[in-house]
Amino acid sequence: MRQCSRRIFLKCGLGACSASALIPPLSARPVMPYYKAVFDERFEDARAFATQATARATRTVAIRGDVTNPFFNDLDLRWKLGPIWLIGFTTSASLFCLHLLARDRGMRLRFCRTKPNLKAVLGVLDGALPRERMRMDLPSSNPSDLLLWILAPSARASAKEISNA
Amino acid sequence: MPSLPPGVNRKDFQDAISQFQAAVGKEWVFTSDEDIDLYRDSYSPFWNEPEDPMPSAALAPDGVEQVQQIVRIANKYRIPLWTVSTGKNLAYGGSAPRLSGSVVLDLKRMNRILEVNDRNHYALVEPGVSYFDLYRYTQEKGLNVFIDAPDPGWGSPVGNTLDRGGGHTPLRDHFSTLCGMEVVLTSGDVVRTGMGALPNSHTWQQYKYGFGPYVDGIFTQSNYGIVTKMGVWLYPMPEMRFTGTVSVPKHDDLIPMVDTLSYLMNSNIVLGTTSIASSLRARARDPELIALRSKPGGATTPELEEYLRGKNLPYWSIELPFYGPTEVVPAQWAFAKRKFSAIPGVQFRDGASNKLPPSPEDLAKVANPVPLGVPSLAIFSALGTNGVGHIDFSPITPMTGEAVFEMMDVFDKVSNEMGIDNVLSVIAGTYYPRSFFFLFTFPIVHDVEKNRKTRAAFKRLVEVGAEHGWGEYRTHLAFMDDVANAYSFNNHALLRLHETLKDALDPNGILAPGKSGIWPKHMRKRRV
Repeated sequence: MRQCSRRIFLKCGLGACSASALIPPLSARPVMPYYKAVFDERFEDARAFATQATARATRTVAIRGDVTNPFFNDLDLRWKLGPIWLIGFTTSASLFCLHLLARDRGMRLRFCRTKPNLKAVLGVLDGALPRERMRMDLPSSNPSDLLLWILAPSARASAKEISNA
Repeated sequence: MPSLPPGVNRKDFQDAISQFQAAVGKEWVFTSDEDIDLYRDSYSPFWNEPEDPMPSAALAPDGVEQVQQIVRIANKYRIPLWTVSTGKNLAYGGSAPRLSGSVVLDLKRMNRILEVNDRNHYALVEPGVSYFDLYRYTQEKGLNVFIDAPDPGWGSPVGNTLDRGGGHTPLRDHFSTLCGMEVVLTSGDVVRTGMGALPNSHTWQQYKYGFGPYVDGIFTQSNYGIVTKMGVWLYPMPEMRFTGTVSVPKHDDLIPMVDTLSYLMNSNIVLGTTSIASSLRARARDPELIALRSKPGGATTPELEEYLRGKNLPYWSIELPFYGPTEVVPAQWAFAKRKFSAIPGVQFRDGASNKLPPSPEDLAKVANPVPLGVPSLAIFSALGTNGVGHIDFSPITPMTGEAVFEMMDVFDKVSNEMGIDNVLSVIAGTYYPRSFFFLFTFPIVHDVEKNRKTRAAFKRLVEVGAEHGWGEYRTHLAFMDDVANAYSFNNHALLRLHETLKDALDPNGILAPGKSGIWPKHMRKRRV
């Protein structure tokens, strides 16, 4: 079998069908306007998430725990232009760092789920967002557990942001 | 609904908020739950407890004139202010206030780099400038300066220096790099210290002392004024960094080893942060070692030495950092080896050698680039979230092997007494000159009972440390009163002096009540 069907993929979970060559692109255009999808390439599930994001024409950025490079060389510069939608599949520590930095630029944690199943991942990538807003507390999780998360412009982000003052 | 400042009624608070809005702009006054939440301590040891400090509002001025207006309004309504620069003081309280109901004065918008001079190697910056910002600026301008950042680069040179933080390189003692500040007093008056007080001076960032009493220190770890500009000395870009490791085989070798280290550091030959590595600590979970220690009477020192010898491991080792010209650094390492060679059985190993500034290829090879002058988040990216945060007990001890033995012995006893897991993360660090710094890292979790136990253990360590003459260099909000009370010579004469200064400089007690255990007169009953 060269390709993994969507049904089998859903049934097996992310790890069972993670090689990028096996995943068909589902859409040529991004469903949500994510600036980037951040993923921790040390983990198979995160690599599979990146494949799915790429299939939806969302650019991806790989990390290995440390978020310094994407922050310093990309996000910090982009955030100076205004808040953005950012999605990720990383450890809680990586999210913690990005969240702390992003909230100074008018962004908030919009969604966060620990160890999501593939259905949840695809649902989020396809634009299904929960209605409730997250508070600042990130979930208390095992440091090696992966989190699917979205950072998004805050409610007041349409006004001026600190970084743009 | 965020709590009101203590002693302030809702109408006065709303009036004050309206005036703050007029001063800084409505969009820069934060009162919603969503916004206020951001100023809580992500690593709070009071997670989900009523004592978790919660601000009542936050303000983000963009200049010194707005700060002046804010303190005048705060004085009028007796609103306590808690100042943060970038607000990333994690493990010490983050951006949360000591006193619930305080209004956070968030200086992130004051993020101007006013000058970086690479002929005399200094910077003049506002509080909202981060180490990343400063590094980016020096890179973009191609300046010949080297930045000493603390482990996370998201902090600010102003904030970290005011909290007397430390880094890794020759200018790692950040307070020692401070050269001139601008301070807004609670009266609204603006003071420039050192040569900044001399109109037309061109040496504000070159000569620290000016004329008369040197006052810069009283604005660090304190609540006497709001620092709006600061000069910090930078290091001229060194040509290289090299590390060499010294290892010794026996327990008592630590005494001459530390004496030699002290000589080399006080002679400015070893120029950076290092710490002592213990092979026994590293192998604490080895069943063979556990069995050896568990036998009746415990393991003797010769038995432990024999155990390590069997594993071909040293008893102690130190990685020495050298910075300087390519011709000089090898000579410094050779000199260091000559000095350490007086210890029988000593061994040396060459470590990393990096040309500075590091190339992108070199940076890609190092786990933590901070010692190479490059700010990073590597360490915090490897730590936990607020679900697995930490606080640090960090006492200062003499720079002697005997002090290390005593500290580790006392700590082991307290650990056993309190049921603490191994939390000793830095043994005898050299973040500050002429003394050692220990770091005991306690995890903070989303479990009230575990956090209570952690707080009790922390307080016990403060007490025991004080009995032995070891005081903390800096502490989390939750323990500021405990640590201040430990510095108790002559019936707390130092704290009484701090309070005298507080009453003189801030008679209404609006600035950071409780910071470093210094409470305004009308709140002193709060002291532990």
